[in-house]
Amino acid sequence: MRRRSSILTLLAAPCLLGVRPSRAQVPGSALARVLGAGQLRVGITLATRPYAYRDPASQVAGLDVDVMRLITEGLDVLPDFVELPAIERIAALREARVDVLTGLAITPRRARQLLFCTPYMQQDYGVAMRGTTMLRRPSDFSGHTVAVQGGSEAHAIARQFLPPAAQIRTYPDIAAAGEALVRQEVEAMITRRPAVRDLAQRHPEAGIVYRFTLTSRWMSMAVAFGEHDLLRSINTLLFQARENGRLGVIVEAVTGYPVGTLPAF
Amino acid sequence: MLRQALSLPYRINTRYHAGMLPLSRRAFTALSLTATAPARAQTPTDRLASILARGEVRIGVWLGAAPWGFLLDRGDMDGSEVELARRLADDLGVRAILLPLSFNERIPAVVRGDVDLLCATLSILPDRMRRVAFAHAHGRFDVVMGVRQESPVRRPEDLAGRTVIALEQGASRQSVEERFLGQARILPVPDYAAALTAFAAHPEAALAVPDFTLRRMILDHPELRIESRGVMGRTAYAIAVQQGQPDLLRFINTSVFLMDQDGTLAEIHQRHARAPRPRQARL
Repeated sequence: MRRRSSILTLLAAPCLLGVRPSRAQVPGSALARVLGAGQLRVGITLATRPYAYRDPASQVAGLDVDVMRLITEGLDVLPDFVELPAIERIAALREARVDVLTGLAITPRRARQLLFCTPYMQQDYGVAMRGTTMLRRPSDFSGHTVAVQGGSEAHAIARQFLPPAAQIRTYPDIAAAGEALVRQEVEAMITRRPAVRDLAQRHPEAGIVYRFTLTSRWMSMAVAFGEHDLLRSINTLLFQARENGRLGVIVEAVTGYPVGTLPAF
Repeated sequence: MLRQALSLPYRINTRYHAGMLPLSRRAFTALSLTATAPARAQTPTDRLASILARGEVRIGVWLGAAPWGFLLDRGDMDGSEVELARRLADDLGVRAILLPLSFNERIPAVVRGDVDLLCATLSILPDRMRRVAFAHAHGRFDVVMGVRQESPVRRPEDLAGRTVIALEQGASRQSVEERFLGQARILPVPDYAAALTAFAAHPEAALAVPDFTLRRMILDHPELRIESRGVMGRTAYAIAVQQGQPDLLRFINTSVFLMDQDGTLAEIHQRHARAPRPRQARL
């Protein structure tokens, strides 16, 4: 059996014979490749506490990470978290450098570029500022500075809701945008509500408050066009996680809010 | 502690190591590790690609009945399905080309590829499902019975042995067939104008039409003395595409989901139907 297995390995690895196969992506093959490799490459943006970040042991952690582990557990594969800047995530998926993205807000604009899975939570996007700053509504922001993570949904929401005269400053990740607010380089920051709570807890001296909500978004994972087997697998596992309560435990532990009744599509 | 409570795998941020996995996976990995040429960017694999490339989407609509689709006096198209079609084009980021179709031409047009999709009050019926791919239902209507005010028929159950006028390929006909299992005689007609003509000619017959349509008929034709007497069935309708277009279908379902969640569908329905949108079942 071992000799036969060795021969099969040789036959299956033409690289050893000097033939280099192309990595051209065949649509619809991602699930088979993932199961064959025993690994799911997950594109993820770190430094977005409490969703995805490195813990003190430099390990990837967070809500989006824990939800993704439910998927890899169900697929019986290992996750390979590939760190990406927010602005590069979709290109990485379309170029097959990763198999799936997580922590993505569902929008029509993005849906023209990838296939969204069913949502795993809803998030409020709102405005954080120091308690002494009194900007109470979007129209107050003319001439005032606001930090956002560049290329993120918060950036798109800032452009949509704030007046043209608002000064939007972009940062590479939520952590950097939060630091800018703490250091008073900006007067406000737009991000998801749990991220504000996390920032306020880590910097109590800054007196950061969540002032008001601009809008909400459904958060989900996404796969490349044509990958409907992988899409269906993820949707099935998310359904299972909703039904058995494991998804609710994860979301509530991090956000402090119950996940509620999640719609599906 | 949370990770332990959930029994999640402890290994994190691990790359594949050849010695740790079964032999069959090693072979697959050997293939992937020898990659050279960069992967081809994945664009939509079906009609969605051509829509985005053309910068326009051809949407079949039906203008046969308010509140879903109709012509205004100045010739403009309006209605809840017409408005939804335009919103869908906005979500696609392309121009909408709305193509009016007759009731019976809707499915052939999308099957042939004359239109990219239908947003034409297409009821979800099994025989249609064999020919097109339905998106998630976004609307619903009741099929109701209309009779003369002096008719002895008081409720749908009284229709056994009587003549019922219904569109020949519509959900209303199916509602009657399911309800009466051959005990009612169906008089099929091609459109609602023909339904009214048949009703005028057969005063003992009943109409089986959508609730909004019957209300319109009652208002527009007081001389026929039509009265609504009971619900015969309920049907959901949805956007439909050619079969074999999974990327386009997924986009439509995403767009319909977002419009459902943010209240857009409710707003459209309220504006055209002047009533709250009924709750939708999931497909």
